Amino acid sequence: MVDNIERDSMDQADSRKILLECFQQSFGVDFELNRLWLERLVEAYDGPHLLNPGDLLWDMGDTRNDYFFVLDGLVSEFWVNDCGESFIYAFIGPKEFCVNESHMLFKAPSKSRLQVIQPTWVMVLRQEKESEFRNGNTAWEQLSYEVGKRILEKRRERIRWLSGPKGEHLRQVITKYPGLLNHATKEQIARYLGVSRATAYRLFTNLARK
Amino acid sequence: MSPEIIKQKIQKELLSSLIGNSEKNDAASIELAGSFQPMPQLGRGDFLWRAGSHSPFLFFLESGALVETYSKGVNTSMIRLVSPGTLFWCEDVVFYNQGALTQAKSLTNSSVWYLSQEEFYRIHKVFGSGFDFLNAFSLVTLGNYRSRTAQLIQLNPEKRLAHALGQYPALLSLLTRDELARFLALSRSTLHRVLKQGYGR
Repeated sequence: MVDNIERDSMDQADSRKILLECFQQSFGVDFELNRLWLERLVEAYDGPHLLNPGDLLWDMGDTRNDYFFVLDGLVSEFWVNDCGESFIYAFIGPKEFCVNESHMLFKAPSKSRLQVIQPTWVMVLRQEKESEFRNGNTAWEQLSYEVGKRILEKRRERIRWLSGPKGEHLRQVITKYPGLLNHATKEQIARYLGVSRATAYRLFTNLARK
Repeated sequence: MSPEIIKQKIQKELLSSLIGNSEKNDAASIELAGSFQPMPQLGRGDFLWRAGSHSPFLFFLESGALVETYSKGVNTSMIRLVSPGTLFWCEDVVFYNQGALTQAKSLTNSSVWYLSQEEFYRIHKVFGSGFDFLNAFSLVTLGNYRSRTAQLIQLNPEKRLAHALGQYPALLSLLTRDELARFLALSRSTLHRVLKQGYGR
């Protein structure tokens, strides 16, 4: 479970330290071998930037491929289906990475919208800077792989939760992102669980009784 | 099907997972595909891997059908179905170098080819393909999760079943009603209603 302290300010040096620690966790034993390269990469991130509820990190149709790291707060990735109904694919919370997956997977314009749910601090690696690090670099490949693994773990967890009881899914996601209780609407939670708003209300009532 | 044709299919699958091919990866994919070996045929209910085991590295399903599940306590989640012609892997073994958290079971008689971890890394070293293949496998997995999540949260029960049957036409005979309900993330009563209304079952 992550802490749910909303911050009024974020120092750049502290933010870079948090990012470097996340890279260190991802790289494990290979961290020291790549320390200088990773420190340079961390310096290429700009921020921290404070975003407010409703702000967008990217929108449907965007073709940019910036890399975001959430220092604190909560962001949601929305999908809109062919009938214009929106759903929440994922929440992204403290110390999690996010990238425009449509671009990464299919080199296509974004099919999702990344919207801030609660005041959120992010750091960004702009695509213009990314190429300095990417081109033919093994450390970049390794980092992409390690960060990708963390995202995959989360995606598999989501499938497991979706295939299980909805009440348990709700309990798990609130435990993981406590900020949801104060900042997300019941409708947003319903869109995340893939249930009607009435069902989301019932699930909340059941959860409160336990 | 002759082993050569199967190995050609495996190579095609390997290359299709990569974003932008290079000569070294073309050559590596031929070597990788050529090193796949057939496993003894699996019967219905046989496990390809069990939770806690270190399975071989990569698999190719020549024929049959498999289901990957994750169990915790009394709850079992259906992670995915594997159809013929698919290259697949146990994520825990390939990405996290640990024993499987899931299990993969054959739903019918299945013919599977495999590549060991030692062979994968030997070839990886010879051709210097770096993280290209591993990154490609993680992107394929990510794409699969995106599409499965979309089905489970965006489609109503009727469309969810119709979509699943479009992908896996033999689904109704391969899975029990309990398994099918879990795969579609529906209650048993909802599945019963949808099957009765749409398919007369």
